[in-house]
Amino acid sequence: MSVSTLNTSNPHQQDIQNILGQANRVILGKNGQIKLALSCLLARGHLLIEDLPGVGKTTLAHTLARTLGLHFQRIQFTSDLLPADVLGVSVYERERGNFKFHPGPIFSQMILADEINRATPKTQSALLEAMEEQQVTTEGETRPLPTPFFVIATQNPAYQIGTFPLPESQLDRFLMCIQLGYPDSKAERELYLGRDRRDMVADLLPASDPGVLPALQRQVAEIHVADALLDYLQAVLDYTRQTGRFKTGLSPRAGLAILHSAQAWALIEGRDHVTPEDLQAVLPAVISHRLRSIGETHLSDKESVQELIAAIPIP
Amino acid sequence: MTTKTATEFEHRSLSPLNATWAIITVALALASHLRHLPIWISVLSVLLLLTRYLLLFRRPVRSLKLLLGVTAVASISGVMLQYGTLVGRDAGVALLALMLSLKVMEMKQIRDAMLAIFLSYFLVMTSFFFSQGILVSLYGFSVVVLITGALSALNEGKQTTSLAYKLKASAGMFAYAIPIMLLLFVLFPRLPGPLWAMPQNRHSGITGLGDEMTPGNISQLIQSDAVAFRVTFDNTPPPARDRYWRGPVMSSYNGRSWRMVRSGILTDTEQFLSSRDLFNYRITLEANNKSWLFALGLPVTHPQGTAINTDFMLLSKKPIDKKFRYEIESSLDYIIDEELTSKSRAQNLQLPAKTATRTRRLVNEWRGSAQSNSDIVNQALQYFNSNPFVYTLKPPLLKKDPVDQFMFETRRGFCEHYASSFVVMMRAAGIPARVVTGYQGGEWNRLGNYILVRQSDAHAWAEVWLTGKGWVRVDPTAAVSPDRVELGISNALGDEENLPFFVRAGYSNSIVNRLSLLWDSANYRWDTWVLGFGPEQQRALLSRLGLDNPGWRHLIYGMIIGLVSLLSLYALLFAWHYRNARIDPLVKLFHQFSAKMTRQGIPPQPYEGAIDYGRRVSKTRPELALPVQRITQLYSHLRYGKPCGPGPADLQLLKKLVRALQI
Amino acid sequence: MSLVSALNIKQSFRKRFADWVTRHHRVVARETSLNRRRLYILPTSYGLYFASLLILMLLAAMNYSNSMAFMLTFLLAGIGHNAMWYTHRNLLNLQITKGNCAPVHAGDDASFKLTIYNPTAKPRHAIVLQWEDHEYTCTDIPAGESVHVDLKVHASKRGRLYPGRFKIYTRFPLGMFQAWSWVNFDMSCLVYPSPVQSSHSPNVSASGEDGEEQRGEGRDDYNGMRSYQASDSPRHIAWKVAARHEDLLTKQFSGQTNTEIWLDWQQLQDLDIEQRLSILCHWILQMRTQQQRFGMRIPGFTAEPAMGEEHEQRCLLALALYGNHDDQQIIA
Repeated sequence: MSVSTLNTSNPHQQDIQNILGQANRVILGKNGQIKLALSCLLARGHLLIEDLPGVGKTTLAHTLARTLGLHFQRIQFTSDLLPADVLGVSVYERERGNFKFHPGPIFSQMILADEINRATPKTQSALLEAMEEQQVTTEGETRPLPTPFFVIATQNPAYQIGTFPLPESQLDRFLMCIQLGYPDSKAERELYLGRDRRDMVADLLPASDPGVLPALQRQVAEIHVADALLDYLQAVLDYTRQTGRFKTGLSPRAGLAILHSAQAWALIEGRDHVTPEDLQAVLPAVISHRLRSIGETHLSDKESVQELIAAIPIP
Repeated sequence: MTTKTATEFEHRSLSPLNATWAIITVALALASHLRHLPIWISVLSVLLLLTRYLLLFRRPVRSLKLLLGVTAVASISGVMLQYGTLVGRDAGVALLALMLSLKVMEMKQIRDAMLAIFLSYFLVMTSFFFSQGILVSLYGFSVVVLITGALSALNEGKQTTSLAYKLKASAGMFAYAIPIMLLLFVLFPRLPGPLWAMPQNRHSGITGLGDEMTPGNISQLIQSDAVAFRVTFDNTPPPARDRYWRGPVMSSYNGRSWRMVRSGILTDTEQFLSSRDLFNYRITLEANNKSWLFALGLPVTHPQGTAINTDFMLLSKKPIDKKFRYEIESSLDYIIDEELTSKSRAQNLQLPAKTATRTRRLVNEWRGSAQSNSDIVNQALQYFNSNPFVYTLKPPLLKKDPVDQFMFETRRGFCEHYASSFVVMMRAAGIPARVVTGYQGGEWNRLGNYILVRQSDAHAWAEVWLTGKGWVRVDPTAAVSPDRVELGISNALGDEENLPFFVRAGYSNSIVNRLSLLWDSANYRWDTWVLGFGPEQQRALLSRLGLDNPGWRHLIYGMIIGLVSLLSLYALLFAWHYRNARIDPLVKLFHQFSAKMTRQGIPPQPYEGAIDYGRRVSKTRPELALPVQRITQLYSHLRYGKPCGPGPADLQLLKKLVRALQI
Repeated sequence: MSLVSALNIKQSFRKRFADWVTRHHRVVARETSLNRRRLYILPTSYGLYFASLLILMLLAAMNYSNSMAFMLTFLLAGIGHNAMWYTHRNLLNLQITKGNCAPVHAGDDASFKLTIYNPTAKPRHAIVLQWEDHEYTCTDIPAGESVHVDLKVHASKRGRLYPGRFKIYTRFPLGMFQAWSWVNFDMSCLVYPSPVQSSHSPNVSASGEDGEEQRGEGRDDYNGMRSYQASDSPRHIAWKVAARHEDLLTKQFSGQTNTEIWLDWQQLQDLDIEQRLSILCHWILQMRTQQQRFGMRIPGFTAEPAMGEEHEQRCLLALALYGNHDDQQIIA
């Protein structure tokens, strides 16, 4: 076996490269975040973006939707938004004499739930339940959501007044939580010089066939996970449970989340197996919103995850 | 993981499991002494240990301390009563056994158990003062493995390991200790003789020839299969009929029993030799607590610490209280005491008055017809031969006048009867004569090429003084039963004699005998090479290694140099062992690679994945980027990719790549 | 005189030794590996007992010229020598990573979290960690695994506790040798004052902003209990509970909060600083159990009334570091 053949060629590898390339052309200097978002999507999870307005959250969601050829809906969450506004409502039609269900915006393949923390807990949980169960139950009737179904929620961390922060148990429903952050100066210059992003998004064509995304999602599950890697994963989980740095350790569900994300990341990297690097790449995004440090650490959650990585030797 | 309230780790209390360990090891160490400890001490020790074990499952007993104090005082008094002293080997061991059992009774902390276990080592050592046989030694050393295992059990943390694990670790330490042991054993300077005088211990149980011979002594002795001594010859040994191992010479007779008399020391025996045909041989004598040694015929050279007396007996300056190995030269061709001193003549003609009157009359008849003394000797032998004398282990009891009774009434006897009455006859005829006891014959051990002489080979014969010939050996038993001398005792006695099985005819070819010979041969080698290793053997071994006539100073230098080199070797061995402590060969290869990079100043971080590490190295050293990334990617693929586990070819490739990385 | 000077010499030796240790064991930021250069090994008192036992055995063997006694003595010497390597190996190459330490109250034991990783294929046994004169922790580490240990140190004073270097040692397997090393992590633990109950009660003042709600609300939702204060209405006293307790308790009702509780330094004027801090600490804990909003005022620090863990921790931190100028910026 030689190194050149190490990366087993994947029939859809080109598709992945196309998707990434297209997204990178629109959103500049955010390759890592785009890859994380894509791996979240491939691992069939939902994404939470915590950041200030105007750094390109909407653009990212929109670009991904267009590139993948998914039906996209944006829901702006406000404090007066009702569950029915999200899920849909049955309206009595006098001509027919019965109720007709008008599906809400949730019945699309990709949803951008903007500023999710502005809505009341009732509305939030309506969305989150739908996310979890992949179906909507209203008035005793259960309606499946389309597949693939992918929610990108955004949350503004800076202005918390009058908001309803998502409780920890709800945060767990998001596979990953990422920050976009400001672009670096080079990317920012390019942004100013280039075309209007909204136009660019509108002009985007799907970079792959509609069947590619489900195929890729199926491939994620086949990415090989070696025993040595599981040892590493368990070391990470044990560390969060036993060192006493964190209020509660990671749950087995979080462990699965790490594993699936790392598999998706490995797929994007063009590998048929997960390496510790893959796991480390997704770890901050997967666990930072699931852990809360105790004591008086002056570190942000991301930093404390970096410290956690540095504290665990790779077995 | 556990947190204790005591602030000192070493003061932690003893868990029941560890207490059990300590009790078991002490019991095993004690077991090696049960054979020779007085019964009350064995019973008391075992009871104490058993009580301690049962107390593990109960609440602490208040009055225990008082009880122990009383027991301690009672034990000391008991030992004092038993031995009359508290020092010396026997009393010391008895005291140690009792005190150790008491120590076990009052163990509370780990510390107490540690001390008890250390003393168990000592107790095992003292068992070698009683016996150093192969089996005893094997037992002692096995107990040492167990004791060491128990010691490691005491030092464990909360998680206890399995018994097998502990024993494995202990055996490992044991095995690594063997080279050190052998080196020190060979090179540690040996001093001849003890450092200080120890009270002598009575070897009550030891069998062997005594300094007195009464009819019945020897026939008792031959019931024992105990080894008397073993002999190796440099060249061909003499035939069985000439193998008379001379021991005590007895010339004083009181009408019933024969005794040794004190006699002077000969300085030179070579004057008696009639030819220079010498037998050179080595005897390993079992302890008999007597001060005589055994030799063939006339000893010419004698080992240090011994002397030859005018009866040409080989005498040791101190009693043989442990196995003694000596080298000696003997001649079977000699004329001794051509002239007999008047004192010696008187001694060897001495007969108590009013004894053996019938015998004297008989001899006087012969005297009249005989030409010379030799004729009388022959006449006497003829008498034994022609009359219905029987050679038997079970002679009838002799009463008032044993010689007359034997000669004319019972006529059934063992060698001592024949020798005794023969000497009486000679003395009655005016021929100086004496009784000699010793061993005759011995079994040839083909496996070890040596002669094994047992107590059952004990024999008594006579020596007469003839003009011009000096002292001449005469064996009257041979006149009655020539087979005794030619073929050994088993062939001389009938089957109805109820002999112990090892002296019966047919025994010598049986499988049991073969095994027993094998075992004896192993024992003999053990005795020669291990137990007999003293100053002389040390010197001999070293001169064979090219160190001529080494003084103790050389030995110390040699020991230090040897020890330092051996221990350095160990240091290297252990260091090398640590380096390779990682199991996975793949990981080991990667470790080699990262060690190479570490030498370049780019060590891997423990949390760093291989690929990341490769990238980092490439960034710092772009010229190495290609080979390094090949290695890191291959490693990562082999470790984390499919199929599970790398094949030998993959490992080979990685090995090649790592080797090829020349920096 | 000689005794005094001997003591002095001993002390100065100890001090020099401690200095030497400090120089050779610099503060480590996060992780350290016990490599060969950092491990020390010396015989323990058991080792010395054993050595004297061996000498005794050697003398006995020489005296009796007993070969097997020689053999056993030399064998045991070899075993003792090997035990040294086994002990050394038991500690070698362990990797220790520091964790955090949850804040404690003065008088309690602070427990520092440490992770010990055994990178080798040999399991390690009976590894003891200890801060001088404090409780020890003993652990075993299987091959290739990590264990987490809580290393206790008694926190006697409020403030920041710097435990300094701790000792990690082992005597496994035979207890005849002790291999050890010192680890000096950059670690500290926040020590809150020890809570002290007192007859004083926190200041309860009516909030001026929302006077309207004062009447109608505040009786609807039962919100736990607090100790009785003279101003409380007898109707709110929990009489049933009082039957079982010595103290009177007042039922608390909350609506849209109508009162503000201030934990005020000024209120405890007749007491010394530490007592004040202890009482304030006790109050904060009381507020926590009663789920009350409260504010706190101490010189140089004011926390507006609020609820929740973060708020409590901020207040406790302020108490812990009161008067500690190095740490003032953390509070601000």
